[in-house]
Amino acid sequence: MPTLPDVLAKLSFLTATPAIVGLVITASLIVVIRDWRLSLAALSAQYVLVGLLLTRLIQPQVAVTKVLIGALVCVVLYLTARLASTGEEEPTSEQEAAEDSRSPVRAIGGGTPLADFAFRLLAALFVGLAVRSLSTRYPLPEVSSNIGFACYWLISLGLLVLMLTDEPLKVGMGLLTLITGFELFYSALEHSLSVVGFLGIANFLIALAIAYIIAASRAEVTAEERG
Amino acid sequence: MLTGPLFLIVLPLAVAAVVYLLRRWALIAASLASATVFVMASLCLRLPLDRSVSVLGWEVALGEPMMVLGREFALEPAGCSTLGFIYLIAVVAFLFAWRISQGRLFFPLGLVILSLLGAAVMVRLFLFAVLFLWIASLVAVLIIQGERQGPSLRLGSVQATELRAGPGRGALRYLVMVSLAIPPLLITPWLIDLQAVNPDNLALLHYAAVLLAVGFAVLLAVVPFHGWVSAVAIDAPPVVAAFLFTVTNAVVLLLMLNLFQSYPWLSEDPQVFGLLRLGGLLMAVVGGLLAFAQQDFGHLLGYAVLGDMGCTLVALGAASPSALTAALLQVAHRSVGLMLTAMGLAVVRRCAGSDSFASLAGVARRLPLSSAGLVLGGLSLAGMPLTAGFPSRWAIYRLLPAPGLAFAMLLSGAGVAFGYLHGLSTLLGPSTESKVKRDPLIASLMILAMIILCLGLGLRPQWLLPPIQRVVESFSLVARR
Repeated sequence: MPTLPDVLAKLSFLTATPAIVGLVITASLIVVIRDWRLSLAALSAQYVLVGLLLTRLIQPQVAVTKVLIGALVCVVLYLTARLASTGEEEPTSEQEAAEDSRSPVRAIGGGTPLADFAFRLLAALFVGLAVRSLSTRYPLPEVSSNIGFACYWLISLGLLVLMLTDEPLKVGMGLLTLITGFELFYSALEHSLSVVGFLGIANFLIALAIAYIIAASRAEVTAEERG
Repeated sequence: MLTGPLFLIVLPLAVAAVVYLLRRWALIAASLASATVFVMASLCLRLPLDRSVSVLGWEVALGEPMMVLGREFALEPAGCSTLGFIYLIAVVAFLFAWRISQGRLFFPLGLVILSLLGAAVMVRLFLFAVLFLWIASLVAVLIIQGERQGPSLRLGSVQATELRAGPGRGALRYLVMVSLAIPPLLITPWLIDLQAVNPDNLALLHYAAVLLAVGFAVLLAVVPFHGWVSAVAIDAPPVVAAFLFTVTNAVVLLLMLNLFQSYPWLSEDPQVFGLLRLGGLLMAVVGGLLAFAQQDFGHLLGYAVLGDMGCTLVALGAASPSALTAALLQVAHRSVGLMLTAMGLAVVRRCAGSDSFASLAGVARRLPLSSAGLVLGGLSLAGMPLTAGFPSRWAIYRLLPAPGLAFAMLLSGAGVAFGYLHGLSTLLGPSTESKVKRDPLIASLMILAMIILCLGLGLRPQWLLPPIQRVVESFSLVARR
């Protein structure tokens, strides 16, 4: 049975440019796609790719722990979104669509209008250009240039998500993306296991808080609908 | 032997677990939570830090440091007073929540938050203090969102629905803003350590100061990062909002003062105090202006707190022993006014089903004590004479170096006072709503006690001066500028 170092050695080809490209794609998907399943899949992939990059900065065991925490976060968000989307149907009229816009889980399972998609894509492209410029002019200390680019990219796109939406699930994904980008950089600065533990707890609590907000908002909307 | 840090961190956590199981029985949960916190407050405010004493057969050494995973936790005089203060506020909040529910999770999670904030105050390293503060804030999101009793739920009217911030918006904004504040604060210790190795590289200290400014600006809701305050005020149960504004603000201010004390380069930089004054001025002006225009007590509470916190920052920016004393006195007095107005608001929301002025005409006739508490607490936040908020405000006005600053603070207070007086005129107006319930007896008695305290502190502010002066003595570097 292959050990962890064996597995990581086999995946070592992924720890450079492919992982960075993967992160560019996953973070972009979180920004432009409104379907929660795709976004959550992108977030999961993002945790794996960041874990691979982290093996270059910290002990592999710690990197794997961070991936596991990411997996746990995604499970929490998946279960919540699935629960919240149960019974949600596509609006059939303008009035229903307007009512639906007040729901905390709107757009969960819904399609993406073309204009919205184009706007988000354009915004992501502009941010991408800014990130490219930032990472060249102000390289982050203690990390290589491509990891610095990945940190800037994740933090910027996380911020972009926070600016573009007020849906709890999407906000949670944006926040987690931003924190992931920060952790990628911070892992190079602070190697303390206690800090890793604290950051893991914080990630998990963010997911729990988002889940709680979605569930409570859903209950509130249901109560309002019942009069 | 029981060390202070162990007791103050572990006890609330252990009781929180029990209270969680008993959360359906509000009386038992509230009694247990408030009794625990009262014991902790008594220990912090009465026991000496320099020696151990016997309490009920237990040897308690409050000032004895404790090591956990290589990290040292110790209770310093300033931290001890701060914790004693926030525990007392928590006792009032828990007792009131027994009669006017603030969500069933408030008791257990409130205890967890107090435990984490205690750890943030006592841990030696700033890095870990920030992490504890973050975790406490993430837990707080759950009580902000928990069992909201927004106006729309009660009335179901279009008008009331429009007033509400949106499902979970307060909790969401708080979560996002606090999480955005943490990364800059976490990087700062690394920069400071790096500068210690490279003493010639002063740019590192500059970066550290900028990151600290950004992080604290977000945590203290300095304009333009102030949106979460009003969102939490409108979205959270009122006493929960007051609890959070009081305890987290006190701990954040303490961490900031500890930094000033630990790093002389920070407290000797005039730009830092200039930034504090500017940030505070912006908060006071924006808080006062927006409070002036509000049409509901929820938003008004948020902007009144914002304006008052701005005055505190302006006073800290004056950087003198008297100004620091006035600022800390204001933090203590604000907690009384804030808790009083929140208690009044909680009863009004519960009995009248709304907090918008339009829906509260004549409510003061049915809810006289709650209405009085609501308005008097607000006037205290505005710094009106005869209320708890006045003495510290007056001291701050007199200590400010520029008359223009004092005038701006005065106008800010006037804006908040106008907002509350506008609300009062509606509360006293002709009644349109006949279904408003009467003042609940026990909650009203608690409000009455707070009204007496608020007026008492307005007339005799020196009651709180001795403990505050002990805190000021701990920050000699800040006060000696």
